[in-house]
Amino acid sequence: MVEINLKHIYKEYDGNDNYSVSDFNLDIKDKEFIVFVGPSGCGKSTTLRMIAGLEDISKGDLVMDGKVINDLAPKDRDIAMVFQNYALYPNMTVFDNMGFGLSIKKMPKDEIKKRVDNAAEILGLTDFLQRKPAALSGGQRQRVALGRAIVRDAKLFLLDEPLSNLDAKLRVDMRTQIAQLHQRLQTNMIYVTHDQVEAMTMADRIVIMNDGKIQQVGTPDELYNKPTNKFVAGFMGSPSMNFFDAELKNGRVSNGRGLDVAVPEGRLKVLREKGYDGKKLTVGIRPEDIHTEQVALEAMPDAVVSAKVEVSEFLGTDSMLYSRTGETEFVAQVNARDYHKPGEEVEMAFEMSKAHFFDDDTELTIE
Amino acid sequence: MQANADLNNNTPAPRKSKKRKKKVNWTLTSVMMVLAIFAILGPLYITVVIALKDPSQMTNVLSLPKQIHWENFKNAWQMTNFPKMFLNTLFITVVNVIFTIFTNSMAAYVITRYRLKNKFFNMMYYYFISAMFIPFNVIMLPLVKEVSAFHMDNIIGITFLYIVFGLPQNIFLYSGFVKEIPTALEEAAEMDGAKPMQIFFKVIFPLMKPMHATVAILSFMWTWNDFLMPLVLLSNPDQQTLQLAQYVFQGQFSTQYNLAFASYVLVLLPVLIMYVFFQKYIIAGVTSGSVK
Ligand SMILES: Nc1ncnc2c1ncn2[C@@H]1O[C@H](COP(=O)(O)OP(=O)(O)OP(=O)(O)O)[C@@H](O)[C@H]1O
Ligand SMILES: [Mg+2]
Repeated sequence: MVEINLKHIYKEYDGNDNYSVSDFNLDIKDKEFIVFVGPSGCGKSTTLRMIAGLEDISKGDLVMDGKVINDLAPKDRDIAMVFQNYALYPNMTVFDNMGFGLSIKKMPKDEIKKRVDNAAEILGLTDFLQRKPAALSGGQRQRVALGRAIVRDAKLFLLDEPLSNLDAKLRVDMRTQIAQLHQRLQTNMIYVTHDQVEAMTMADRIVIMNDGKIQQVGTPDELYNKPTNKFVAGFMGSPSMNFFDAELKNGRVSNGRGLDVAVPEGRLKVLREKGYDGKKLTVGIRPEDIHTEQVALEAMPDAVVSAKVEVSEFLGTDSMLYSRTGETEFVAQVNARDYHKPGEEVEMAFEMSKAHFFDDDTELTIE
Repeated sequence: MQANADLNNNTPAPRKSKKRKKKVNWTLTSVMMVLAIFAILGPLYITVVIALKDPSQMTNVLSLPKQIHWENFKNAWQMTNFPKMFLNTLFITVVNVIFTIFTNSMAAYVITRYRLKNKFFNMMYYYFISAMFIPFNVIMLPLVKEVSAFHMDNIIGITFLYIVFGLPQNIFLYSGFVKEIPTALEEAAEMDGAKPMQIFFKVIFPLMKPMHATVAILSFMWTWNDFLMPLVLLSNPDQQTLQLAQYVFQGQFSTQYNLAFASYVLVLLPVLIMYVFFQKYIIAGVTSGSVK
């Protein structure tokens, strides 16, 4: 039903010297669940608020269903928003909070009641409808905020870090509830978070931002496996990717401080074609692509380093080995059966076919 | 400002934490309480006693009346034209309180919300606040001229002036309160499709309740007790207020103390009743505002 296009959008706040958001380009398809993710202060909320109309757009066009709506008042955009701090009306009951938007639109009372009751049912708020927000727990308030949005047939839902104030368990619960809600409502949602796990689990497409600029747009899988630059590679995944400043020589990457592994044929060909032979570059490898099993060691004999485990964390199915080879530190995520005590010397194989290579200056992926 | 002092005396300090267990010095507390009772109830006692006496008994102001002269009240009632004056005063006070709450809260809201973004509103803020520092006496005479030129020397005119003269203090009070209301609430209402007036009256105005109570009580006390402004503005005897009517006892040859005091009691009663009634609200308002 709706398509939203953000065309070269810039935002400069009064009194700031540079743009808080610059050259933001994104086409959102109908029914898509988009997640904005990025570190604090990267401009996620600003972009969301520009879409909502709560913040002026300094430059560029915001297009909804083919019409430029830069100057349309928020109340006329038909967008529902869930605020990070809930922003529930303290003087109204839960019922009135959820029905406020509908009563403003002069909807008949029984229709409002039907919708609010329905939303309350979905969100498990039926018993709290006559309470004031002050008498609710954080998770319940959060659900009221969501409820206020879903009773309306808005074209677009904007959610600004709606789960940031909840405890870990509730957050996981709400995550699935929101995903189900999206399934049920079949509307566009834009969801802001700085938690990459939330982004990965919920999004159709993720927009990853840094410093006011889009770094990459893609499915969770694309962002995880084919990051376009070092920032994306480092941001997605937990624990984050290991990076090494190294030099490519004789088909091997080494940093002269402990790391020295061979690069498989196919990857080597690309690097050579791009002229990185004999040059410096950044090597990235995810913790789960470093192995300690015997089979792996045998399969990749020329990518084995011997490392000393300094700290090890047992996480149930996996264990994290914070290790060091020479002066080079890295993290390996291995099967819990391969648990090693701190201080142990362990042979580890780097699965270099899964490694990422980045240019030292531009930090872009070499491909 | 008289009202303000009263208010502070009678509302208990709301922030006293219960956890802090300090030993109470009961002797000192009792002494203070007794002193306070004397300071407040003493004069009240004298007022009531005099109001019930005969003029011949005035030599000892503290003595109880030998015979109770209820007719003092009746005479005072007639001499001050009490019902008429009461209605006049009530009109001025009630209209003033209602309009003050609506207009002053609205003005304060707009000024507070825009004053950081817009120089004009910031100027307005300082313009209003600076008016707090102009004593009424300074503008009194020019005001009299101005008011008569505009034919505002009547009840309607003075009511209007009360509403306007309350602005500086009320903007100051409301403004501090509005600052604490998160703007996200208005943004949420805006996303819900509300127009500015709807946002104000459905979301912001109800939230200002504690401050409405404070402003209402201050405006009420001020208007009800004011003597100076009616004195200089209201010339028509039909249009005078209760306070002004007390002037009749200031006779050329003698002051009729007994009647005057009986009349004071009559004037005081509505205020006391209102005050007792409102105090509940004010205490509730203060605590609910601070806990949230
Ligand atoms: N009202 C404002 N005036 C001036 N600068 C602002 C304003 N709001 C945000 N900024 C600046 O714009 C940049 C982006 O802010 P924004 O709130 O969009 O970040 P964010 O990505 O939402 O961060 P977070 O995850 O912490 O919420 C920041 O550098 C911030 O300092
Ligand atoms: Mg934010």
